[in-house]
Amino acid sequence: MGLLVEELGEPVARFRYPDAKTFKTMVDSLAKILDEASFRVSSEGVRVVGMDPARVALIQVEMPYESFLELEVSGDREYVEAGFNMGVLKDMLKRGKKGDVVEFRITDDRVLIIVEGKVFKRYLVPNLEVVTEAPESVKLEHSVEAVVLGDVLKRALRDAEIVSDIVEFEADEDRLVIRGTGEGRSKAEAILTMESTALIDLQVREPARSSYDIQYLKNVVGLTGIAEAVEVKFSSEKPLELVFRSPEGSRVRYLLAPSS
Amino acid sequence: MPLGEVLQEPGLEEARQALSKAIDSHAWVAMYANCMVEYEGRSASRATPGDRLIIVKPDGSVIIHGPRGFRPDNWQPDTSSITVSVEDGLLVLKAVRRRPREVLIARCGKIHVVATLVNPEEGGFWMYLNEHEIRDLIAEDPGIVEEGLRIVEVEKKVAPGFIDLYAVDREGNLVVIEIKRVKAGEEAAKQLARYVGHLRRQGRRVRGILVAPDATEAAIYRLEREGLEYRRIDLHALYERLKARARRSSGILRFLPD
Repeated sequence: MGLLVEELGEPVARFRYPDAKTFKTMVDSLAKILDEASFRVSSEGVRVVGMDPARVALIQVEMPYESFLELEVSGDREYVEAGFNMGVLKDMLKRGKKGDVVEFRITDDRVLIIVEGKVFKRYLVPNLEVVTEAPESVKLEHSVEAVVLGDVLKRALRDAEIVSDIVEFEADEDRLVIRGTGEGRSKAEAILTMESTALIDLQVREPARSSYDIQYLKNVVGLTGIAEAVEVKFSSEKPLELVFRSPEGSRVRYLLAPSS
Repeated sequence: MPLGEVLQEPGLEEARQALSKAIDSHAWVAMYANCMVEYEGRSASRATPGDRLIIVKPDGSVIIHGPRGFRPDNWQPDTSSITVSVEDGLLVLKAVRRRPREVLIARCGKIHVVATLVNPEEGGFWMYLNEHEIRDLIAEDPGIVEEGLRIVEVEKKVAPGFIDLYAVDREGNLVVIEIKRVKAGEEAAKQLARYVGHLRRQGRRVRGILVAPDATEAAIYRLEREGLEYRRIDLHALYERLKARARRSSGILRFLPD
C-alpha cells in the first residue's frame, strides 16, 4: 500500500465515505466558517461542530454510520478526534469527484486521507488538537419552519445582496418573504407562497420577521449542491436555522445570530 | 494553528525545496544567508556578498536586511512572482514585479538558517483598538487603571481641552486620566500636566494618570517632575476584552440554552 501507510502506523479509527463530492461540499462550507475543525468519529458516525471566529454562526455536520461504506473505531475508544486545518483539508479534497470514495485513516498523531478515483490520491497530515467552545447539542424552538427549494433560496439571497448586506426573512400564515432592503428604499423581494412549487412546506406558529447578514449565509449556500430542499427556521430577532440533508443521510445544521 | 520549521545550515538544494514549498503555500519565511543582491527597476543597485536576512511575507512582499540600521537594504512591496532555483552553485531567489518592472535577485552561496511559519496568526490589535475604544473599556471597568476608581465623566470639557476620563479615587481625590494608544511622548505628559494644573489652580486635590501601552523616558521624567503618574496598559488584553464584549452582544451563544 506504500510508504505513507507504513509511516502512519496502526489507525485508531477509519472511515470510507461513498461520495467525495458531497464530502467536499460539506468541507468547503465548514472551511468558510472554521479555520480549524475536529471530526469526532464514533460508532454512531462522524460529527463536526464549530463556531466562526466572531461567534456569530454555529455549524454542525452529522454523518450517520449508515452513510458510510465502512466505519471503524478502535474497540477501547468511545470516540476518536481528528483535527484539521480546514483550508488544507479543502485543498486536498478539491478534485474529489462524484462517485470517488474518500477514506480517512486516523492515528492520534496523523491522518492519512485517500481519495480513490481514476487516480489514487493520498495525503498525510498532522492530527491537530482543536479546541471548540461550541456546545455539543443545541435545540431551538422557532416560530416559523419552512422547507424551500435550495436553488430558490440561493437566488433570493443573490437578489437581496444586490441592494443590501442584510437579508430579512418574514413569514405569516401563507407566505414566506426573503427580502433585501437597501439605501434609497431599494428593495429586492422573493415572495414564496404555498401555491408556488418553490415552497414545499410552511408551518407558522406565530408570524415572525428577522434579519441576517448575507455574507454569513453565503458561506453555506454551496450546500444546496448536496440538498435539493433546505429547511429554513426562524423567530423574530432570534437565530436563523438552516438544515441541509444529503441523499446519503448526512445533515448540516447552520445557526446564525440575527443582525441588530 | 501556526506551524513553524527551522533548517540550520541546509544544503542549497534542501533550502531551495523548503523555500519553494513555503512560498507556494504563502508561509512566512526568514532566511539568514551570505548573498549578493541585485535590484533593477526604478533605479539599480548591487550589493556585494555579505550576511543578510531575507524575509518573504505571506502576501509575497520581500524584504532584505543587512546587519545594521532599521531600514532594509532592498525590498519589493508586492511581487508578481517569486522563484527559487539553484544555479552555478548558488541559491537564487528572484522576486519580480511586473508593473512597474522591478527585479530583485538574491544570489546566496551559504545558507545559515531557513525558518518558515505556515499559517501565521494575524495580530492586528494595534489597528483595531482606537483611543475611544480604550477609553470606553476603562470607563466600563476603571479597575484596569486602579482599584476603587469611580468614573465621574467621560470627555469632560475643561478650559485647556477635553479630559478623556474624569474620576474619583478611594481617598476622594479627583483623578484626570489621559489615554494614548501608542507610546506616549513628552507632549502627552505636558497635556496631562495642563489639565491637572488647571484643576489644581482651582484649589482641588487632583491626581493625573497617563495611561498608555508604553512611554518615552522624557515622558516619564516630565510626569515625575509634575507629580503625575503613569499606568502601563496591555493593549492585547484590552483587545481581547473588546472582542469578548462584541461576542456577548451579537454572537450566537447568547441565544443558545445553557
